[in-house]
Amino acid sequence: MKNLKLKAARAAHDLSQQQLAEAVGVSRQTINAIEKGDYNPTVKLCIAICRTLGCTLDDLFWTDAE
Amino acid sequence: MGKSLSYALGVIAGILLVFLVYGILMVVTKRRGKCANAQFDERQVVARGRAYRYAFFTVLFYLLGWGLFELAADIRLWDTYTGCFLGVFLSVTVFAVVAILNDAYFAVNEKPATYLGIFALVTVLNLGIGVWNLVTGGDPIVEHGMLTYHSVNLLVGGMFLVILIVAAIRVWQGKREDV
Repeated sequence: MKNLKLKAARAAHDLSQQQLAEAVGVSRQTINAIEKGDYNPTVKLCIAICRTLGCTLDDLFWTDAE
Repeated sequence: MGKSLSYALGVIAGILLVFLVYGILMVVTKRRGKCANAQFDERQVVARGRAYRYAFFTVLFYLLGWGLFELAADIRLWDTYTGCFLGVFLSVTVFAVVAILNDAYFAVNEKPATYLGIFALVTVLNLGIGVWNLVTGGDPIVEHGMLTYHSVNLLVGGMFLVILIVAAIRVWQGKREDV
């Protein structure tokens, strides 16, 4: 499932995938895979992304159904 | 016999020279603080594990197939040395292609352009040597209907050509993906 919340939060901070990837310490393709729903990140990576974007885990990685 | 011994010694000397040059480069770059271990993120580690698995089974099935074919058909397609190298080249190619297609070949802190240049150089050198050997009528790459070890340069060049093409296409696609 695509992670549109992450994409929106990244855009709100005016960050490219490359910039977010560098800030978090992963490759750009990993950020791309997470946004496309092709990869489920570990909690550790989720927390790192949330800290960088100033969001909570609920904001970015929990769907309404969950 | 004499030619084989001197040829083998030449190969060993060449390999030792490569290690020597590599070792010197590592010491120099480390002293300058430019040497960093390759860092793969969590997704890349998983993808590389998958690529290693595919490569392992590739060489496994290749060796089984090669052995069974020679046993059943009593035909030798290539000599033992070439056969061993073919298995290595096949598995390395499979690993590299699967890793590249999953964006797990180049580490987070590596620049793909540098490696594309190296791949291109290795391809040109090996294919050049192989073709030169063919054109000048040097050591035969096929003897008694078998592929010989003189074909190794062409095989290495072919392997790096495949990896280069796949890597170049993936890098080009990656640049278009970034938003």
